[in-house]
Parts: sequence; C-alpha cells; structure tokens
Amino acid sequence: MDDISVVMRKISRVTFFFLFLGCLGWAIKPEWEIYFGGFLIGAVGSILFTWQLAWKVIRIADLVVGGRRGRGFGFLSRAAIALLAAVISVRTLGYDPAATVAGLIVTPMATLVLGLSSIRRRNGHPSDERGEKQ
Amino acid sequence: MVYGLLAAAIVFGLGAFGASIGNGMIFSKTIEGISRQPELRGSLQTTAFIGVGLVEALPIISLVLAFILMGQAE
Repeated sequence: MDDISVVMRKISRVTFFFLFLGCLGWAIKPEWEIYFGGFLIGAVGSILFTWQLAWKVIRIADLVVGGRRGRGFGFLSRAAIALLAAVISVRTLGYDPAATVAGLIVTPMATLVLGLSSIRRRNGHPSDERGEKQ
Repeated sequence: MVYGLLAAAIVFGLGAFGASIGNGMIFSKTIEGISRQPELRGSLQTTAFIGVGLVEALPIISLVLAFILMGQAE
C-alpha cells in the first residue's frame, strides 16, 4: 500500500481538480454563483479537515512507536472546520447548503476511490487463479 | 421549531454514534498492529487514514445537515 504522503498528494490533486471545475463553472455560469460558491467553500473545508486527519494519524503513530499515549483523535477539530465552512457558506455568504455538503464530500469520495483502487492493486485481479498475481 | 431541533439532534447523534464505534475499532486495531510490528507502520497508518477518512465523512456531513436543520427551525 502507498505511503500516507503519496495518498494525501493524490487526494489533494483530485480535490484541486474539482476546485478547478467549480471555478470554471462559476466563470461560465455566473448566475449559478450560490451553487458553485457553496461547492468551492465546502471543497476547501474538506481538504483542510483531510490534511488535519493525515497529520493526526501520523502523530498518533509517532506516539505509539515512542511508547506514549495520545489524547483524542481530533474529531472535534475536523467537525469545527466543516462547521466553519458551512457557517461561512450558508449563513455569511448565503450560498446553497446542498452545494456546500456536496463540496464537503469531495475528499471522502476521493479517499474511497483511491482506497478501493489501492486494495484492488494490492490483491490483484479477482479472476486470477488462486489469487496469484500474473 | 422543536421538531427542527429534534431532527438536528437525531441526525447528529446517530451519525456520531456509528462513527465513534467505527473510529474506535479502526484506531484500536491500528495501534495494536503498530505496537506489534512497528516496521509495518507506513502501511497500517495509510490503511487507518483511508478507513477513518471514510468513517468520519458521515458524522461531519450529519453535523452540517444538523446545522442547516437548526437554521431552518429558527
């Protein structure tokens, strides 16, 4: 399986691609600002909490290897980042809530796709005889 | 207004309940695995990252939905 920094780089690349698509859509259809704006803010929030999650997982592994105990997994920080993105998008700027939620699930979807492809690559093709790689 | 707040509480409560169980299982097994075989740390922490990333998507989205429901209830 890939290193966590490689996975993070792939997820960031996919998210930046979606951010580019959002900016492009906003440029082409300025009247749909509430949708594209909400999507962009949600996607920025999602990449921020994914970076925080990667940092936290590395930190917990460091603590375990060092024989120390960690305190918490940082869910509150990630939830606060997502909530901040939602407050800025929906309450302050008046963007569409559904578009904001769609933006917030960009990195989880990218993680799902990359994780499945990584597992598939590791296990080989299911039709291989006795699971042997060719 | 009461129903909106109730809906927000149920949405976030159930989402957080499921995710807490999932997160606990993922991190406990990861920590156990790293303690047993520290040389597999890279692989284990990547697997944990992917798992937690997926598990935590639900409570975070439910938190935002709860916030939106609360906003509509006002």
